[in-house]
Amino acid sequence: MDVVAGVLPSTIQLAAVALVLGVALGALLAVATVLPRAAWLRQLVSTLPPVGVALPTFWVGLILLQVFSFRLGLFPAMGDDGVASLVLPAVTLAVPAAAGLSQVLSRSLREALGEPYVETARAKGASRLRVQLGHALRNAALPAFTMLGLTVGGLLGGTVVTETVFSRAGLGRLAVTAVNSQDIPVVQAIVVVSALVFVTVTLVVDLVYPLIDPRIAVRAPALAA
Amino acid sequence: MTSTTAPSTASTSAGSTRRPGSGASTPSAPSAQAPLATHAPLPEELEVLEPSPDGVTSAVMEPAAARGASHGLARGLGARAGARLRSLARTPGLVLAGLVVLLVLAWALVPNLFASGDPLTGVPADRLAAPSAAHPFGTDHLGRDVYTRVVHGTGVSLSATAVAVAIGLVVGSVLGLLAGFLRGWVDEAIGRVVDVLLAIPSLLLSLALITALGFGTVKVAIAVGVTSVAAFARVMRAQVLRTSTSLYVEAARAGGVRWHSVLLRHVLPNSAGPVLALTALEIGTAVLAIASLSFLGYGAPPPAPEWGSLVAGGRDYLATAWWLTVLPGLVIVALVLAVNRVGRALERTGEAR
Amino acid sequence: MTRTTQPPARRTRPTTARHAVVPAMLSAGLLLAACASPGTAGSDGSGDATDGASDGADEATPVEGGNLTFAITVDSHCIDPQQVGNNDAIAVARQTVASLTAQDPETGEIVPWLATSWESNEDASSFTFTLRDDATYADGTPIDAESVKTNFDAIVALGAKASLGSQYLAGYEGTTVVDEHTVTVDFAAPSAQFLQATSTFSLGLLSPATAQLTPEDRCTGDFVGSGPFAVSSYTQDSEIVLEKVPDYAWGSEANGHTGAAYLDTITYTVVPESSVRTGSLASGQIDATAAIATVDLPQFAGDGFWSTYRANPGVVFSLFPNESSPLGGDKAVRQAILKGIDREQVATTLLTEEDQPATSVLSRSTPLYTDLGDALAYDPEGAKKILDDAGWVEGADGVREKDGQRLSTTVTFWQVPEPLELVQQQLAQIGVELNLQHVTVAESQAIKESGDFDFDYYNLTRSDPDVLRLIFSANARNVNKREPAEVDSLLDSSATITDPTQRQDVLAQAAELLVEDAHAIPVYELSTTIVAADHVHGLGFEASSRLDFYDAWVEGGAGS
Repeated sequence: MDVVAGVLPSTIQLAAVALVLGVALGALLAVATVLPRAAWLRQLVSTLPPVGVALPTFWVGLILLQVFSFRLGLFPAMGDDGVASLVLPAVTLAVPAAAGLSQVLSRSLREALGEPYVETARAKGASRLRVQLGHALRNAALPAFTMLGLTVGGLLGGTVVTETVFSRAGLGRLAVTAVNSQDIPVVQAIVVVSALVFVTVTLVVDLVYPLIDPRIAVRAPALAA
Repeated sequence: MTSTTAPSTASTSAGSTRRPGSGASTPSAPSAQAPLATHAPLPEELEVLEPSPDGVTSAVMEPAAARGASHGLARGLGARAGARLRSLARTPGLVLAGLVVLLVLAWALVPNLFASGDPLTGVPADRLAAPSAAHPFGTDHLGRDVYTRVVHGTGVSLSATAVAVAIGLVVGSVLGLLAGFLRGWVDEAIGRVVDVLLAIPSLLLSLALITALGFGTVKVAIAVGVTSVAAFARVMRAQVLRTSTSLYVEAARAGGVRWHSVLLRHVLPNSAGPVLALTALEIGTAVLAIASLSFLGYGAPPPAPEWGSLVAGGRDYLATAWWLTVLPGLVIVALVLAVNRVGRALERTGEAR
Repeated sequence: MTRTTQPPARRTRPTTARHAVVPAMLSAGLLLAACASPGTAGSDGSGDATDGASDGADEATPVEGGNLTFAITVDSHCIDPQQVGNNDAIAVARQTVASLTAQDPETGEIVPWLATSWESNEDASSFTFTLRDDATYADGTPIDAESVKTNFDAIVALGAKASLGSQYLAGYEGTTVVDEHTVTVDFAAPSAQFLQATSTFSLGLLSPATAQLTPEDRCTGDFVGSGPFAVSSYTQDSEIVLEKVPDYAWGSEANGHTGAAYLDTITYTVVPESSVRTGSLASGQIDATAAIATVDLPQFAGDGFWSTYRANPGVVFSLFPNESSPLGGDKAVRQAILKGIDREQVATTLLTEEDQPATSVLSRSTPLYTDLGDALAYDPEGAKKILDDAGWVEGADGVREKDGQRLSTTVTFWQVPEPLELVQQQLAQIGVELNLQHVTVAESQAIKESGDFDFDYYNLTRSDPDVLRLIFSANARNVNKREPAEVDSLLDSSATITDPTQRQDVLAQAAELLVEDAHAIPVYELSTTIVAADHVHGLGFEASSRLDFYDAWVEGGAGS
């Protein structure tokens, strides 16, 4: 357990940065699937999330290493210290998260845009951009918010490959070393820790959800009835 | 990680999260446990790409779905076939995806037809040659033709995928069926198991299983298969709950039809659509998971050309031989993309039923 | 000594010849109180080339201070000098201990370090060392005769955990404290290798307090050494930081200075991915490493980097058959495999120009080496004939069979797989299926101990030919797990001969027998290449190709 605790900070740092990146990128993509007036642009952007979901994380990491570290020399290849060394692994980890989030988000965004309040807002003279970003996105974000637990779980799983590819110390690489040396207690500890993280995040989401969306408290029972 | 949850999550939780509580339309199915089911009955469920006129609520949908299951079925068949053809023409992407899947299947079945060379023996003098007419994917560090290795590695990689998905499908469906049909404490118990499986990131779960099982293609396949059990169980359970509470099933039961006949004649056929769609999506997920694990070195030992280990073998040559990682990786991406595309199409037809 | 870490793919390229390897005659016991001045350059001899590409390190005036970040490939979860056996761990452990003697990397001569002089009796079974009187362990305890005894007794007590040290002390009868600064080490039988062994890290001295600790605690860095650096922190699988011992003032004559080390700290970063090591060195995240893949070396030729190459002395990378297993015990199979390997192709395909295919069980930079190249020539037809004659006939899938048994065997290894993949491909040509079982360092150790393997694969670096006896003799490690044979008497007697010419003769006969019966199937010689950024100076090798950071310094000192 000590070993696990020792590497946890590094993994949490990586996963947190990846989460922020993933959410930002996911939201950006989702908005880009509805926002542009040009249909071809919307079409083009909407092909990205399915591609993102289909990319093997280890491969993305290797390609990023190759392009940004070797060909362009922009980012360092390894290390646990410094913001620069965090960029490539965090992007690698964020790709599947962003892709998944943007798929959910753009669905609910389109739904939200069909809701009456959007019409109302438009009728009141709010600009298209304001409606889409201000009203619809905020409401559409709620369903995506409930995915947080799964997303964080996915990120933790993703560190196994990402930390290996980038030779970073952390939970994921510890898992690989532990499996290689058949160190069952360490593997168990890692599994328990990651499950705890998932459960905690899910719990927090459940608790926070009604607070940020008061409709839920009213609506859910209504539907169930 | 890449995979296991991402694709299915994207589509499954979309349904449930969109209208929280819609699962309640099937009595006793807590929404959190039956996400796919909630959007399965939508006749007009839209793919991510196409904007939809929404506004329909599941409350409205539900009766329609129940109807569709009984008398709507016959009515729709002929019309749907025509519609499907027409929609096929409108979706070149889907056609392309189908072709990719067929090509990869052909690689797996008759690799020699596509690459007649020896995947295991190379010419050391020709090592690390860039892609050319003679070697479309270049050669590796021992002078082996990478294209030949990719083609010949398809069989191993796909059979591992098949084993993994089959485990998830069979075990998950049986669990879901039991839970949905027997209810009560069985449902509770299976529900807990599923919750636990879902709480552990799938790649870590696979690693834990590999620690116990050991290395090798079959073991990797089993480890990946177990991670998809939960998804199948949830979908199957939701379908069973939905159909078994529908009027016609209750009528059949009331009419004295034995439970296993009800199961076989009504419940299973009606669950097939969503489960089939999930299967397609899980294939993509499994391909990625298996590639990840064989990348980490838990699959077949060298010189077997498993896809993931092909990419893994190239990673020491990133600075000098890009083709070793890029090209086999692209093949994986193409297949997963294609399978997911087909899966989403199936999902929609399943829903349209 | 020890088995190597550096996988094959990373041999290579010449440069600075600060250290030439000279097969010196070092029969222990004969060299009394030799004094060698660490000469500057002069390359001569085997395996070492000069191209003056870079470095220039030695001309500049050393600067004190700063940190040097060095990438290693694997953390074997132990850095106790008396226990470790893996090259990466040795790169750390070596810096933390001083030894009784040192070995000059250029001449191979044994020179004073903690002992100012020594002598041995006629048959090399008793050695008396006179210690310098001012040296202390890092905790301030004086390095006296009593503590030397504590160390040797503790190493013998560690047994198999001190895989190398306990072998060096094989036949140990005891250490006698003559006076505060004089000790005598006695052996039951002649042990000609012992003097050179006292120069290795495996017999490096640790504070007596350390002997009280459990082997496990010592592994995690809880020991107090006698060298120029001490363990500052150790994070498993991540990094190890050594800091200099400011009071250290007893550098050996094999080094360039005698005071404290120049560097304040050395940070060893564990970087398993080859591509990441290359990228990190190129981007300046690390200052140096000895593990750059062959294919990536050209990008470090000049242009801000320098490199230095050294062929490792000792037993070359070889397949070691387990003769208690059915196939490993089949002499025809072993001989066919020996002839079926194209060593030249392995060297030219995967290694660099300086690297050599094996020409004996010992590498050519090992003292008392004898060339057996003819016996190791590639002879696929000969191999096929041996198998045909032994009744192994080709089966449907190209793999030979006999009495329903396929000629399919497995080699267990943890190093990079490329050379074995090529060997696998070559052996397929003669109808032998070689399966590759890639395991971790820890697993490979466990497998060795369990004896559950067909073929093992590694090398063993040591600058003394006694390594041959140590590995193969049925009375020593007996890697083949075989019954005693003619070769054992030769191997055992080699340890008792103090005359270099006679010893070489006996060793050559032994090596010939080992190759003839294929108890060893040599493949290629290991070498080590340090690649470093231009601001790094003085980083080099000790005589056994172990990395030596004592003379290393970085430009700008603390600024690095």
